[in-house]
Amino acid sequence: MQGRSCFFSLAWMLLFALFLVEAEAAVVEELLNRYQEQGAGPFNAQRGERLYRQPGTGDEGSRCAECHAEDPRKVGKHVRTGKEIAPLSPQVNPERLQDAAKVEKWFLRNCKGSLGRECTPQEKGDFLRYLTTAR
Amino acid sequence: MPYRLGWMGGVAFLFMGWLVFAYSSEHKQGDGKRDVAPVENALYRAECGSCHLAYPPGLLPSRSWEKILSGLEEHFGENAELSGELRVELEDYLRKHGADQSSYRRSQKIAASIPAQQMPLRISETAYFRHEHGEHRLVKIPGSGEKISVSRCEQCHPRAEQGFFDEHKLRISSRNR
Ligand code: HEC
Ligand code: HEC
Ligand code: HEC
Repeated sequence: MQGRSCFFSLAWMLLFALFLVEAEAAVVEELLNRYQEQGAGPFNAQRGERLYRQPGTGDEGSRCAECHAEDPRKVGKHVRTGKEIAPLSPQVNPERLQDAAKVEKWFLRNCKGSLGRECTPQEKGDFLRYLTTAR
Repeated sequence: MPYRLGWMGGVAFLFMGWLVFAYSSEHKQGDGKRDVAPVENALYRAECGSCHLAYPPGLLPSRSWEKILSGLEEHFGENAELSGELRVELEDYLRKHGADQSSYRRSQKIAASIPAQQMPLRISETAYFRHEHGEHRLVKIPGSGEKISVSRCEQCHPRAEQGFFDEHKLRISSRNR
């Protein structure tokens, strides 16, 4: 009896985990599809990494990696406020890239902040590739 | 049967007693509303707590919060812009919970200390705040000697988001002037 319920809860947990992995992939897929519809693609992780490390523009622009840590799998620190920022990489932080609107909101803010302009669909797609594959 | 009812009634009575106790001690924890109301809105905590501490709304009057929300594209050198829907929801929360709307005593003092025609955008630039902390924007945490912005309340007031500032176990021992 106990063995059986144990088996069932394990099975449920597995299903749930699968569902979460699916959900994450789904959000990134959805975004990449959207960028493709806007004429971008194919996407390239190395270009995404270059964006992450390129110097900010103007007096106030900071590099992405300055707030988010040189290695996106590590904890970052906001350059202006000093607040810790949880790792950006979905490979170590399952809360990342879970919500398309949130991702777009931060792309808008951070690209304007770093580069003084919005990122193009190509840049955003490259960057998501980088985040989901960087090791 | 009457006996059984009495027994169950006793349990119910005890339970209600416990509820009243839990409720009142919770309110004691709020320091009998002496300090500032805690941040209780999840949207606010998420949207306004991602770059810095989610400042308790009871630290500034509602008119200040409205002005902050209307200038998020240029927010202290950051772009913090929000979609219209989110902004309307936050506006509603902040309008109802500003210092001038609060029943917490410190908030009332803060509200009373700011002249009606003023709309400070920073807590840290109000006369009330400067009276406690001095004028410097960069301050040291004595223990480590690290210099931080005075806007990082939580570094010295560990329970800032819960609205506790009047603590005797502040992380630092001396004033930073
Ligand atoms: C000034 C500091 C700063 C800079 C510079 C910065 N970011 Fe961010 N970024 C943040 C903060 C703060 C968050 C929200 C953190 C959180 O939710 O914990 C964030 C969140 C994000 C997210 C959302 C991830 C998610 O799903 O939760 C993405 C994507 C992102 N940043 C990309 C970038 C890119 C690309 C750049 C460079 C063009 C960049 N950031 C530069 C501070 C910064
Ligand atoms: C993109 C990052 C970011 C977001 C999002 C953000 N802020 Fe800020 N905020 C800052 C920075 C940077 C400062 C200046 C901090 C400093 O001077 O040390 C600041 C300062 C403040 C201050 C002044 C603190 C003081 O010195 O008294 C208030 C009040 C404030 N923010 C409210 C908000 C509210 C309300 C929201 C949500 C609508 C919000 N912030 C969202 C970056 C952000
Ligand atoms: C570098 C440390 C430090 C920082 C940062 C800091 N404070 Fe303080 N704060 C203190 C000290 C020290 C006192 C004085 C305590 C005393 O004299 O009893 C104080 C006192 C106060 C008081 C009055 C407490 C009382 O007992 O009446 C309030 C309210 C307060 N701080 C709010 C804030 C807010 C809001 C922020 C962020 C905008 C902030 N503080 C940032 C160290 C700091």
